[in-house]
Amino acid sequence: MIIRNSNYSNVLAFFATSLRSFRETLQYSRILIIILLFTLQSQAQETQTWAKENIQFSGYVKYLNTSTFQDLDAILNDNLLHNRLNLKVYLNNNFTTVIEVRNRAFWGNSVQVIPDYATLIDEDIQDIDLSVNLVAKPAFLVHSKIDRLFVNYYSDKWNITLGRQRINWGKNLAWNPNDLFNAYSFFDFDYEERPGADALRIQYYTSGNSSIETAINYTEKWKENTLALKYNFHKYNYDFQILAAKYIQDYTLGLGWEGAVKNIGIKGEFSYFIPQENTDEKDNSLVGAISFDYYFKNGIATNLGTLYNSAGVTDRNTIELDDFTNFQQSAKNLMPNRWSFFGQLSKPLTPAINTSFSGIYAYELQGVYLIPQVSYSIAQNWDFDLLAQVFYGKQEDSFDNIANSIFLWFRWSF
Amino acid sequence: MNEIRYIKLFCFAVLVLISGVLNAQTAEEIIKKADEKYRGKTSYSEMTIDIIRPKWSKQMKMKGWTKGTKYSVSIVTSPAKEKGTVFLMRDKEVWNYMPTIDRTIKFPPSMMLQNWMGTDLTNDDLVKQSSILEDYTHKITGEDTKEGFTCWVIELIPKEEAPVVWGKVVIWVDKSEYMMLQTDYYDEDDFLVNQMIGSDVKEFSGKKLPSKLRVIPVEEEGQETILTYDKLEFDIKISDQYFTTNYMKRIRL
Repeated sequence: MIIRNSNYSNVLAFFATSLRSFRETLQYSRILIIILLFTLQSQAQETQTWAKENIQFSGYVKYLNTSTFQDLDAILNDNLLHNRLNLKVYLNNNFTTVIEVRNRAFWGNSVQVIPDYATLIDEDIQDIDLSVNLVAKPAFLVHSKIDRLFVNYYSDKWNITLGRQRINWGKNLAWNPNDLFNAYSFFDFDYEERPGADALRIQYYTSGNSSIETAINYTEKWKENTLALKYNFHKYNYDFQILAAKYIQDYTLGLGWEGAVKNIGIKGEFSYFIPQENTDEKDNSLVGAISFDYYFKNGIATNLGTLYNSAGVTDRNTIELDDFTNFQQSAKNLMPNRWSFFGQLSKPLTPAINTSFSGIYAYELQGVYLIPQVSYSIAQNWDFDLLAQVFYGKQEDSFDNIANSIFLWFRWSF
Repeated sequence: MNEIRYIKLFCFAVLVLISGVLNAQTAEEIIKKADEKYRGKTSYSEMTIDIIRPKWSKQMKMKGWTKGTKYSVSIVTSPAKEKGTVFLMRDKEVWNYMPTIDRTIKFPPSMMLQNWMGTDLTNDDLVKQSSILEDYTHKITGEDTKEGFTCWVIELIPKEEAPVVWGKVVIWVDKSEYMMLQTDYYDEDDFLVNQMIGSDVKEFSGKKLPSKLRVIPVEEEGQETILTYDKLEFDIKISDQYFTTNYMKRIRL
């Protein structure tokens, strides 16, 4: 019994020790868990704070309805649900990476009527295919495209970007002969970001307000790519840029500026194109655009501009239908004719409502494009816009309405 | 008799002249002190801007850095659509950077007097291009109490050729802290157009300043813009690099 007892007490003691050590272990592990939890939590918090400080997410969802008609016997109606997702991550003080995706869903008359609409939508201007038709039914189409995908390195003196990016060298509002990598069409209001160029761009800051930069884009056929060198500087209260490039099948020299004469802003861009040997074209050409902007005290803003394209057609009768249907906008060919004029008046009626009226006159084509627009900021992140494009042109002897489009859209930004 | 009258008149004239000169100096000094206090050598601010209309309102947020009177840069942090837009002012030039299209646009000078993004403020108010010191002559016209502070009432008349839209500006500066507590803007026909009213005095970096500024277009009922300083720091180190067209693309939200 005693033995037993002693055994018992031994057992008890053992248990007690075990229990104590278990308790200790428990306590220890509790502390460990607490530490672990705390670390995890603070790490999670750190990650959270890091993410909050270094990751930017934004974008929008837009519903666009388009009605196209010449007379009211037939109206083409189209719907577009358009979503953009932008993600920017600051990896550290020098490196940033960006990915932006453009998703669009189409339905309506065009999808059904226009042959190969899906192929048309999926046609990339870049040679690297980063887009896909997710749904391609006869009446419904969903298209997704990686619109930006690049890494940026930034230091005091250097700014280097590699990947699909926007290289925006334009100065004017309507026409940009200096915008070699991605000419902008004033008519394409639904794509303000513009498709990116698959390029390497290196900028070296010679001072705070001047820089030398070079950019080269990738194309499958290297002789069709663009390699450009640009010098930006600031003098006499003007921003200047001088550029030299091998531009697709041309050599190009360019000059652009932004400044003011008295209270009137004056912007200009000139590019001179010299076709390379062994290309179809033989003639050099000059493309130049100048614009003036002025803001009246009553809030009306004006922008007047002109575009000269020496290679543009001068005689209306020589214009073939192909000139229009095959017209591809580029810095060299912003309008198919020689002289074009642009005017815009805009005025905010209230902080919520903005109105504008733009017009383009293509002199040799005797074509007039009128673009009235009303924008309404419904609420903090909600916008509504109504825009029309009205085309008039001279046909035979009469000046007629050729085509009209009415666009209306709602946009929610986040 | 005549002589005495002459002497009296002379003394009076001298007194008026002296006091006039003294007054002018003092008024200018007061404005200078108030202006310097509000600017500091450098400043960093985080601001909320509420645009109020009778049946509509919008809120914006921005961050801004200033250095002296010549350099300022600010970035819109909200709402989503305008987020990332940067405004840079160097001396008398202003640039605007829009990240969505990756483009820097130089403002024509006439743009400065336009309302800024639908607020009751002009671009000029925002970047403080025109100087309340250099572009005006100053005069103390009286005394008044605002927000419980005794204030000098100072009248500013624009100098000829000054790039200013106002015909007259009246500023209330408190005598103890040199805070500008109210500013009345008159047009060239001497009609009161805008009022800027300071309130909610707080201490920022050891300086007492109104944290809320209401800009009220007097003629428009139910219309105003409220600026609230969520953060305001002075005399911090800001590199000159911040105020360049190259750097403006780099400023973080």
